[in-house]
Amino acid sequence: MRRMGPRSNLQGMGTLVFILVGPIVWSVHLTVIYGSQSLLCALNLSEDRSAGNAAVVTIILFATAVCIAAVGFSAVRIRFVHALIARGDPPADQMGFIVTIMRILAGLSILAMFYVGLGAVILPACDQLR
Amino acid sequence: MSKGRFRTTVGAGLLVLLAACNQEQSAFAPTGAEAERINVLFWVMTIAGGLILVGVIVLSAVAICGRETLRARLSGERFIRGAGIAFPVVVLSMLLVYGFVILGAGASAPPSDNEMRFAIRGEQWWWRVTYFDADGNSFESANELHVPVGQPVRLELTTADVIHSFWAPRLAGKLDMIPGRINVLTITATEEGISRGQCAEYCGGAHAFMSFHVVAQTPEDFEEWMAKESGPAVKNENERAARGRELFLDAGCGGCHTIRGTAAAGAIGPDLTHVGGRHSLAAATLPNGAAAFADWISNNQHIKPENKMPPYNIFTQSQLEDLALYLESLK
Amino acid sequence: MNQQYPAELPNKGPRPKEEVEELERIWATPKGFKLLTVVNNTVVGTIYIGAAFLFFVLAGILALLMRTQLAVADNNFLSQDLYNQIFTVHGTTMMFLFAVPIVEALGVMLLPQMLAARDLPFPRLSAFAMWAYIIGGLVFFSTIFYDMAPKGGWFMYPPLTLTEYSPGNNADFWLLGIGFIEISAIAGAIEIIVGVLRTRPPGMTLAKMPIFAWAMLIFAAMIVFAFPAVILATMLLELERSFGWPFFTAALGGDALLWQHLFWFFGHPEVYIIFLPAAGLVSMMIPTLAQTPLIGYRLIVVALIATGFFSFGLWVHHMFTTGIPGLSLAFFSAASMAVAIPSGIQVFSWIATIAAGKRPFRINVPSLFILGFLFIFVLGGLTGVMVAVVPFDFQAHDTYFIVAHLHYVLVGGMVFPLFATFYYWAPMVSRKMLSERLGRWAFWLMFIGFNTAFFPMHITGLAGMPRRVWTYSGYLGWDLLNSISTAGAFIMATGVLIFIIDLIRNFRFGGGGPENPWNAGTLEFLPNDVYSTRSVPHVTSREPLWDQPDLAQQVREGLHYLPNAPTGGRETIITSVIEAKPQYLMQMAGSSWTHVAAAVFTAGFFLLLTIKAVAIALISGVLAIVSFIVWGWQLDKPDQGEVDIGGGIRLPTYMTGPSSHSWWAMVIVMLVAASLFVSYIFSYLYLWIVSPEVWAPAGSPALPPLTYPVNSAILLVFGSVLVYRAGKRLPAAGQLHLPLLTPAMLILAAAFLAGSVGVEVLGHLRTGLDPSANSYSAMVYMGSFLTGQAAFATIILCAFACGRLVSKRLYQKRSVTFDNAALLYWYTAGQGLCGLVLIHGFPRVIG
Repeated sequence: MRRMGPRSNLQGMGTLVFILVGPIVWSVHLTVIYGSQSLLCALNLSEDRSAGNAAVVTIILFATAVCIAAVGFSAVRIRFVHALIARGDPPADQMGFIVTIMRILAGLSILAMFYVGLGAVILPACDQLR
Repeated sequence: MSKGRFRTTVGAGLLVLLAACNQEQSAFAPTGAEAERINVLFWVMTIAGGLILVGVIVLSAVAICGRETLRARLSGERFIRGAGIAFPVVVLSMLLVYGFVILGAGASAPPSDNEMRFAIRGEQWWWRVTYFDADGNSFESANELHVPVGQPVRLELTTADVIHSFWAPRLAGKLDMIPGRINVLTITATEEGISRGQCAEYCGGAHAFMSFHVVAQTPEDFEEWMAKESGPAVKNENERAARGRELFLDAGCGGCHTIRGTAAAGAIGPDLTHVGGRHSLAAATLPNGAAAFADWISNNQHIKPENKMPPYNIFTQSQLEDLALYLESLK
Repeated sequence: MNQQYPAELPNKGPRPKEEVEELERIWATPKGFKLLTVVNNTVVGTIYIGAAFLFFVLAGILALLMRTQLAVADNNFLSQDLYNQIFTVHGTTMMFLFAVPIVEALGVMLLPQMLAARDLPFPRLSAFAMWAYIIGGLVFFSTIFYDMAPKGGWFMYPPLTLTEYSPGNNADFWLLGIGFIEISAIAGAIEIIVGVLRTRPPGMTLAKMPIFAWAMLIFAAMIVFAFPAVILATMLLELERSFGWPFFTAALGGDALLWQHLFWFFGHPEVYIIFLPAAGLVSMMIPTLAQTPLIGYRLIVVALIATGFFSFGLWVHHMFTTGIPGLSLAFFSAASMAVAIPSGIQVFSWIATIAAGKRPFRINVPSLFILGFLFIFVLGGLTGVMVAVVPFDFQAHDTYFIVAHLHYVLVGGMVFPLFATFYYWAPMVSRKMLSERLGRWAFWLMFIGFNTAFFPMHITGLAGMPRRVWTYSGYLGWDLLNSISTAGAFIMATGVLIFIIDLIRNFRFGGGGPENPWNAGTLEFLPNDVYSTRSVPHVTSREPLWDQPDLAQQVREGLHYLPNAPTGGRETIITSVIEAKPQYLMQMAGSSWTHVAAAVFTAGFFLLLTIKAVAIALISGVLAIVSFIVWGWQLDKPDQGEVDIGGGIRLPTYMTGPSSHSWWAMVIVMLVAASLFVSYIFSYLYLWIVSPEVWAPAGSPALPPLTYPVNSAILLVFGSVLVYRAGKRLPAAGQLHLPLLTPAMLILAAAFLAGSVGVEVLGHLRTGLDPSANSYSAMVYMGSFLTGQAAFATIILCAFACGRLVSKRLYQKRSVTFDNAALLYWYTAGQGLCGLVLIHGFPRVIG
């Protein structure tokens, strides 16, 4: 039980980030779709709106698919993704715990992204709906 | 469990109380298309939510004092995955889709030529209402909105100062009035009658006194009302009212208020052309009537503190009465 | 996880008696007047909790005044103006002066104990945060007595809060007072994050951390990302109020909704910032009361993390009626649904744990409050799901339905667990336990009173009563419901009063109370003294006290790690992030006047600015900086060589780089600054979307020629390189000749930083750009304002490092001060470069 070098503390930080892959992708997803939808709707307000609306829906569905796939991939290819972020495996005796919570978080994030994507299927892109 | 029964009793009791309530501003008594959809949504969610709450109470009771075998069933991760993940996911997914569908139902029909279009501007602390007729002519009124039953009406909501929120609970949900923006709310009255609405976004000082009435009329009555309302003020032959009219113009009331057909053409305060015909005064703060006018003119800072009209104590009692009678006569 | 207890304890007994005496001397709490200088976490925690509870009572009294006013229609008990002030101060006090501080206070109080650390890693910082908060809070609250209180609501929406509609200093008290308290909350958050990640006992891996530590970790991380948004918002609003920079004025290209976005980006996570720690406390108490380990530990960790994240995706939830496109609302409705799932996980985990108890759940005061919490919170959560459904919110928004919902969630979700906490953890700091009999009275009065007060409000709201009205007309028929609510409020207040009586009768600060009265399994119930536990146990499970029955005895006898004070001063073990392996012994600061002075003068600076006493404010600000410098000068103690903590482990007593606790703290500071800057970038782009017509080159003077930003950038890059080179030229320890080049490089780098900001501002001034002209020009100068702010801090830190260099307190092996200055320098340079790209690049791209 000797002290460890600085590397292991950075790796520790990396492992924390690895646990959070799902929610981090979720936040990127929300930023992308909300940002692009607000921007396109604002630009399109006065002109012919159908083209802009189609663009909005396309972007949302595409972003949703990509993000869900990315999170799904990370939840399956645990070691690869962890090595990518933190260089190396998580500590062996912590593996079970870390992987479990990472996967459940990934699942919840996928659900949340799916919910958001659902809106784009049901609702028009830019209308105030009032 | 006794707590659950207690709650049910209390809940039922409160609903009884509610029935005794005045329904003029109540979302529970919808008379508009959007409000009706939301009312159904409310009851669906309330009943489902109530069942879930009872379920949680029963499960807690079992966990505390249930039989060993029952408790054992609750005491594993399997139970959490079922009740805490699977069940909520199913319920919430259904609710989300239902909510989206109801939201989508609010999509206004593509603007047609004969759609009615009114503008409402929130000002501290009253509502300026501008009506447009089919020919594009417009005239102003205040603190009261007349709409025909069964026809969608586009309300263009703006503000002159701070953020307000237009809320007529029996017709539709609220929509904010935000500087620099025009928010459009389409309302469709489904029933005749008078209802009340109120500013829902805190707008400073007299926020509590920024209300209005909505009068839903048959299309025929509405046409008739529009024709009359768009005209100038009625001439009144009554001697006292005529004196009141002189007082109104001499005292400079026309600096802020307009009475069409007279020299009074101020644009700062509410248009008073037909003020005697409205259901209330001062943004639904006082009932309409000569006594209320007199009270308002001399005492308005007590009735509605911080409102932008100064109190006028320059009139003798009989002058005040004349002025009030004149205003009351502006049907 | 089921490791056996180590056959050999780290240290052999019996230990010499002098060790305890030395620990007592080192960790002694100052007496008398000097108590103000205290930094021991139990004392600071108790004062902190006491202050926050005082604000709870004060804001509660305001609530009673409001309920009295609303009891009957057309009432004149309070005037309109006073009522508007009271509801603003009630909301602001409850959110900023009670809920967040009391949770931080509980963190300060409980975390070191739960982690068997001697103290949190930055004891003076938490004491500073506490004093700053107490002074700022008391001044803010007292404005209600002088008719000076803000009256724009706790959400302070412009344009109502702009000078035009809110003249006077009232609104400024909110902006500067609360802005300042937010800074203190961030200081506390940094402390808590580093504390949880780095001061755990050996063996307490992430998987063995008490749930409360998880909750506090996430709580603090959320503060780091949420609070900067509202700090930026308050800066923008204050700049507009004081200097007319039009960020929120629509006529000049600003937008009132920008405030709402920034405010709720903070405001919604805030709700969960308040709730998560309370949920963490419940997860700690239920296993003890059921005498069985928590069922679904991993799921609860997931729930806490997921709530923390998803709560950042809900802010537009408060803006459903502002008229933004329906699909945008749908995104946030979806996130609101997603965030409900983690709460469900927690509720059913608690029920499962209760069911798993080896004997029926004990019904006592803490468990009553927990069951009350469960009922109220579930009801509040269900109405939360209801208002997350967009069309329903069109009706419910800004009505008493929301008042009911938010009180169910906050009082149910936070205040009830808090009272359970008071009864459960009181024995940790009090010689006597609180009364079971009075506690039951308090609970039932509070529970019945709460539901009587708030349940009817669901109906009142949908019957048409909007929020924030000081009176209502009799004919609307809301009287009866309101009278019932008022009666309930007074019943609840009686419950709180009985609790206070219980405190007066039974709470006696000091050790020697019953030891582990609830038979809990976690470390905070180990025998405690001023130095925390005598020795630090090696943790092998989540409930060490249950799994190792002799642990308390062994710890008291000093048979575990660090039974003494090998460096002769305050110290605690720093462990690794994931596995909690001991890495080094951190030397800590003790009692001091410096942080107290810093708090007083910082508070003085902000509060004097509020009343526009600029000259005295600046003097106070300078004194604050001096206090900070003196405070910092006493830190960074020299290496004491390796020391033995037992079990054959020898630890160094000094550490630099990513292993050092101060490196971690600096990284968090940078995250705070970065999220502030990201909020700024968002605001810039947002206003461009709203008002592209005022943007350069069409709507404003053309940008300055590229030579300005290029020169500015070159200065930043050169400065960064200089700092890097200076790092390679630090003197060796004991080197006789002081290399003057190193401090000179640092000073030059600092000058470059100032020059860079200067060149940027000069360039815009030369084009004739006036910050009060429109939202674009204001945003341009705001970028320099933020970078200038970071540069100011960096320059002070560089000068500080120079001072340490010259006085030979900074050398290769004792370089933490330099490392911190360098990190902040590089961060500031990076932020400055991003700013230049945005300000000079974006208009050129769109132009």
